[in-house]
Amino acid sequence: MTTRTKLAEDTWKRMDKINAELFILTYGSIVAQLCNEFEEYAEVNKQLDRMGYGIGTRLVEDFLARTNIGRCRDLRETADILSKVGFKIYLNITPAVTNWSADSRAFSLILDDNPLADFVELPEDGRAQDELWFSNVLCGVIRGALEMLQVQVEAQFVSDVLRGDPATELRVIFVKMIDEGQPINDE
Amino acid sequence: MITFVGIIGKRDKPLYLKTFEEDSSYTEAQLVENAFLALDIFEERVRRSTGAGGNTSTPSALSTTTHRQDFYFGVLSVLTNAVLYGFMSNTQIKFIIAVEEKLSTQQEYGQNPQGQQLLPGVTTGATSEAMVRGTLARIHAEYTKAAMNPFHLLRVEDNEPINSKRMDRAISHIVAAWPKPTASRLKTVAPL
Repeated sequence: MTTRTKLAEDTWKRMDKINAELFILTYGSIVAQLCNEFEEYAEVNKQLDRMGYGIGTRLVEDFLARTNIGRCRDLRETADILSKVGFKIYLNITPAVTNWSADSRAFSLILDDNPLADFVELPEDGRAQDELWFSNVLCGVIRGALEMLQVQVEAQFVSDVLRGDPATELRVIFVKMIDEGQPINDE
Repeated sequence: MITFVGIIGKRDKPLYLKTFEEDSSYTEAQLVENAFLALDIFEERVRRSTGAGGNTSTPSALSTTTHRQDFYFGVLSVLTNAVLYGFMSNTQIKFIIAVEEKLSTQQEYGQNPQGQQLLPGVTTGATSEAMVRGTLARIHAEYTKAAMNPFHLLRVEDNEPINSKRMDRAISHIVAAWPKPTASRLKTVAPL
């Protein structure tokens, strides 16, 4: 396990960095703009997920090129690499992997320090608190990246500190392995 | 004791007004009114400094004095029970606090509520400039954090007040952290 952490740390050091505030404000303005354009927060969530999907399918190529990690044998390994290496080299956070389901087909990522949500306070219109998942782009990224590796998953937020919940939890549920021949549904 | 914190935007639009009237001898309306009356002073001093610096359109050796727009305005006005201090950021956002010292002659001499003897000459009002500057700087920092909220931007354009609960709580903390002169003095005075 420590080799993965070390790999992640070394790769992170070699990555080009940009200013965090610039990134956070850019993402924040995307979400704010989407909220402006769409009446329903559910629609905003969907758009964020789609954006994330587009990012994920491309990001995974960069990830593999930088880390040269081989095939994971099972979902547990996938979760471990996702958290220790994936999140680490792009966002410099290492969410905890918890809440494994009984059949090991689902797990949760607890992001106890979500950089996308710094300085953010959800609008007080009564609906945002219950309907908007601010960091929903991350769900799309995970889904897109894994789909390019022939692993189909569902990813969705379960709780978010922006909503007043105690922790930010992202649930990843394994659906199936994708056969080589199936065309990828690129939205 | 800080009894009022105000953040006024450009064009004198109020962005955030918070009164702490339990500690104040003024009503909420009076505190707000006093703050707005003090806004003229900001304008006056800005005009005076740009006027003294010469024609701002011609760059000159004096341009360094007019360039720095981050003003600590110090004492804005002195009222019967309160003193108003102000600070203006270089984005023309004005921060005003009203500080009141509840001085009564019974407190200066004789006994204070805790029953300890106060020595005459130990003043209960001690507002140093450093304290005021520090407090205004912290309020400025909280305002900056609130302004970074992506959902807040829309409201500023419409000139609506800042509705950030987090900033509200943070400012309440800053006000609560204002050293209470009577309490700190007590530590140095031995009970007789």
